[in-house]
Amino acid sequence: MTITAPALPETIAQAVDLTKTYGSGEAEVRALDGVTVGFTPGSFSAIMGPSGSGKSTLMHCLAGLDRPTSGQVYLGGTEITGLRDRELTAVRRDQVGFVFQAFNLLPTLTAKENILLPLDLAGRRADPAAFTQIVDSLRLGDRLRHLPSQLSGGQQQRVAIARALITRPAVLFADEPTGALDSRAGTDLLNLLRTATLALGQTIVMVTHDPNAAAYADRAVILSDGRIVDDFLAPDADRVLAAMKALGA
Amino acid sequence: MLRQALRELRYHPSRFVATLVAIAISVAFMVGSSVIVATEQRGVEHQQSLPIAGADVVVQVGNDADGTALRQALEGLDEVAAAEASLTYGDGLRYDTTTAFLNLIGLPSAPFRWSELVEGRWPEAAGEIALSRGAAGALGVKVGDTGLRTSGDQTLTVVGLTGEPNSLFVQTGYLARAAFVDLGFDPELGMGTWLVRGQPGVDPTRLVAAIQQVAPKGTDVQTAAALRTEAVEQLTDGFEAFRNLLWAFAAIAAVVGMITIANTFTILLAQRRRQIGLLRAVGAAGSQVRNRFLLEAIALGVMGAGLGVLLGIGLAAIGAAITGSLYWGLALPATDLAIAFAAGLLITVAAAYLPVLRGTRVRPLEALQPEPTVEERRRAGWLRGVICGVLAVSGLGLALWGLGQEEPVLPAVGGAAVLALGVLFGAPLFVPWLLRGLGALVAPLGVTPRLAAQNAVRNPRRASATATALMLAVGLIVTLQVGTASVRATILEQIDQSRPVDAAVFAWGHDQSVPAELQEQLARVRGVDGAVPLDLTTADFTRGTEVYEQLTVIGFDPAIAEVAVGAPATVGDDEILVSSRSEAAKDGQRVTLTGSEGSVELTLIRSQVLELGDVMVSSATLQKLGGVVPDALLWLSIPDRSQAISAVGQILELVGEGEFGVTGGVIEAAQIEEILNLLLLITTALLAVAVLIALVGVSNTLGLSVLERTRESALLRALGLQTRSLRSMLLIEALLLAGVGVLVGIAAGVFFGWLGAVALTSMADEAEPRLAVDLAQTLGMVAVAVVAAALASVLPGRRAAKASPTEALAEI
Repeated sequence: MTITAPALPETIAQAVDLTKTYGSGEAEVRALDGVTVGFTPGSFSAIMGPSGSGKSTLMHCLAGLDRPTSGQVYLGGTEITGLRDRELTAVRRDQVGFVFQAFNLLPTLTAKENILLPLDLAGRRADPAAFTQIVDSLRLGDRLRHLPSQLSGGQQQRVAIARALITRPAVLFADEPTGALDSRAGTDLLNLLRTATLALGQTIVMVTHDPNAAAYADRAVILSDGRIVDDFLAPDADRVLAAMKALGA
Repeated sequence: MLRQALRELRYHPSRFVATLVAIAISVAFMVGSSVIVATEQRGVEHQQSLPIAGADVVVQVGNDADGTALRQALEGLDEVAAAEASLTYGDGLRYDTTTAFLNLIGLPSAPFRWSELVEGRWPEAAGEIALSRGAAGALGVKVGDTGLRTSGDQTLTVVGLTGEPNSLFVQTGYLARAAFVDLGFDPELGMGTWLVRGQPGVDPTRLVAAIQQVAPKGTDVQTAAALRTEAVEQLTDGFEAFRNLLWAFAAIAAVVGMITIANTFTILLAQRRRQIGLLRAVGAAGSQVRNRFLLEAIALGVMGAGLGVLLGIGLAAIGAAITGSLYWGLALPATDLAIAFAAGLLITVAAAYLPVLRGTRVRPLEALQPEPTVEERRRAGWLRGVICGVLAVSGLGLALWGLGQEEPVLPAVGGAAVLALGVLFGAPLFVPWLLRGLGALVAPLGVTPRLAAQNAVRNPRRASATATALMLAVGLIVTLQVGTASVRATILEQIDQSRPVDAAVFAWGHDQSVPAELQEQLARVRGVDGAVPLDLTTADFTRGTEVYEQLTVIGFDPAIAEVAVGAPATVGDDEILVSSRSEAAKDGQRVTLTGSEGSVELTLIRSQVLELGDVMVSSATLQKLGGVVPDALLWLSIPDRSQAISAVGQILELVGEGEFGVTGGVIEAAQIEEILNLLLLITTALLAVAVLIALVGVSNTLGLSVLERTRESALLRALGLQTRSLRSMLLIEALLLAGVGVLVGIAAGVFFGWLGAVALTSMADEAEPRLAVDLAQTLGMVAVAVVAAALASVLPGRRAAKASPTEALAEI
């Protein structure tokens, strides 16, 4: 393991010169092309870009779900790029929280069991106070014994967020969390995510293509063709829309 | 985690039905055979020991012992409450035309009586008999009937019926003790076995000791319990062997079951890839994921095995009720049941292990992509090809080499097994090709068949696994069928060669004519194509220093050419025909026949038309010998083999079991055929269980793959495919899969059956093995498989057709 650039002291998640390619020769696809980006603790960042820009790939690599072709990833101060499967799994369990667009929950577990899943896997018990706090703030108190099939889309996503928060991870990654929800549920969700950052100091990295969703974040990182083309703080819907349009040309 | 495993099973029960069925059937087979064999054994034990049931101790003396002295000695003992001689012998009783074999017991006095009267009364005088209900039923008699005849031609009247339980093997009848006088036994002194009852409170062992002190030397004194155990031990080996044989079939069913279970788990894990991926993403280690699924397998195994045990006991109880041994109670051998249960659990976990291992080795990201069914275009691998090639070649070589040896059966079977293993293991290599081939035949018929043909091969590994189970089951059945048919053909040919006459009817003492009426009836039997009556006499046969006294001599009649092979055109007055099968007979030898009225010197000629031991002379010579009984022998010809069995049945009925007997090549052949057919029927039924499991596997594969293809089906429906067409697409897929399995199974079965037949018949030197395939049975097999495959596609078809196009497509 060679250390090329030291992790910047302020970041809790960082990618250094990240490259990911699929295929070979003429059929080679460069999903990520030398991306370097860092995220500071307690921040709510949105990664955006048109389809094929590599935003999902970047998130997967940052979260330890996929291995980059070259480059390093640092999470919570540790380099995860060289880790073996066992250790990487442990990192995902303890240091990362996930919320996907859909299919977040195990269908045969109740909401409560889904929330406690990462702790069960680690063999740890939940702190009752922390559990109650998360459940109350997500308004899931009366849904804990229900199966996913008995919950609405919005409720399912909230359960997913609760699960992602229960281990107090270094970073919570959300991949198009509002994609399957109607606008009201979606707004609700984004507000909850926003509150989590403020109240708990949770770092959130969200991948989205919706400028309105990006407006809830502190920072917007725009990708195109595997490279970062724009990166600014305090995004609002108009500015983000303009940035995206500029790419389209 | 256990709770979650159980919940998984509870929420999607239909996914696991096939697996449960496979496990339950295999375990039920083992348990059922164990229980019924044990129950039958217990029944036979009790039946056999009925005569000593009322006694505490049994004393057995030699033939020359002094019965009176023994009796006095026994009665003199304080410990003895009662002592009595046991009188019993076995005989065939006849009523009208029915015969039954009975255990005839001299009526014991009250303390030693174990059965109860249900009708009538006990026999009091010689000539009276009380029968068990089973015996009465077998003979077709009721209380009050006379005319029941013993083999000694005594007549008995039925005076009562007893409530003995029915037995598979032997029925009981009670005679008055006085009846034994006719047999030469003093009822007081018995036949050598004495039953003794002790005073209340006297321990049987103490009784034995007391008796041994007063009994003459050489007397065998045992407690009744010990004697029963001894009898039991003699039987045990036979019963155990039978149970082991049944378990061998159960093992075959289990192997097929394992293939089904493995397939099910492969498909299930493929379907739950997303779940697996999610678990891995959230941080479950590979071992944690595997353990979840193994726990599900264990829960499944426990449930299936439990079900199987109950099912097996139930089936055995039904069987025991039919044979009557349920009367003595169901015997539940605890060890066997435990082994069967454990086996059921073991085969589930073992079968699920590899699929679980492979199915959970998924990268988390892979599993989260909402992609369509993974098409395993991976080729089966050259390593598999090498291994299978080696197995196949070495197996074939071993089998063929074995055939040339003196003890061919073991190496032939061993080689065949290795070859079979190679074929089964190599299924993924050739099954997809066969499927494509078959599919190519079907595809030109339309869009639906073409889609079906493509679908059948989209997952070659899964298709191979499904077809393999069917191949194994069908292959075994066809092997048995072909083997039996070939053995039968060979044996029949043998018989044909050694027995020149199809059937011969004669009086037992060769001293009566076959009545003209009987001759006519026999000639009219369908299948009989010629009946020639022959005259007989008896004479002493002298050849040099050899003398055979009272040999049966047959008079030549030119008509025998119609009914026997190798008949000469004529026999000279100075010639005697002797069977060419006799090694001592040589053409030209001088023979003297001395009959009751004269003596003749003749020249010996060997002839094919006679069986060993028969001689034939001209009718003039016969008259010279004197004592001729005309029409004492009737030769029948039954040229059409296919009518042989029914013809033989009628002949046997007409001739009856009295003064006349029947023998001959066709008779022998018919008896052998009956045995072989029964054997084949039983083994086919036993193997049918395996076939059932394999077909359940076909249905399972289809059903689960339909679940996977929900979106595809919905798309097809959206694009305009009719529900009916969707269902027939699945039907064709099922037929293709089953077709490949059955075809390969039949091909392999024919080869292995031939191998077995050759190995068996090569042990009998002269036999030339003939390959015979019973077309009816084989086609029947194909038909069953086709129908079953069609049925297997019905449920999945309905499920596929129910998918509403928009609903299924909306799923993200």
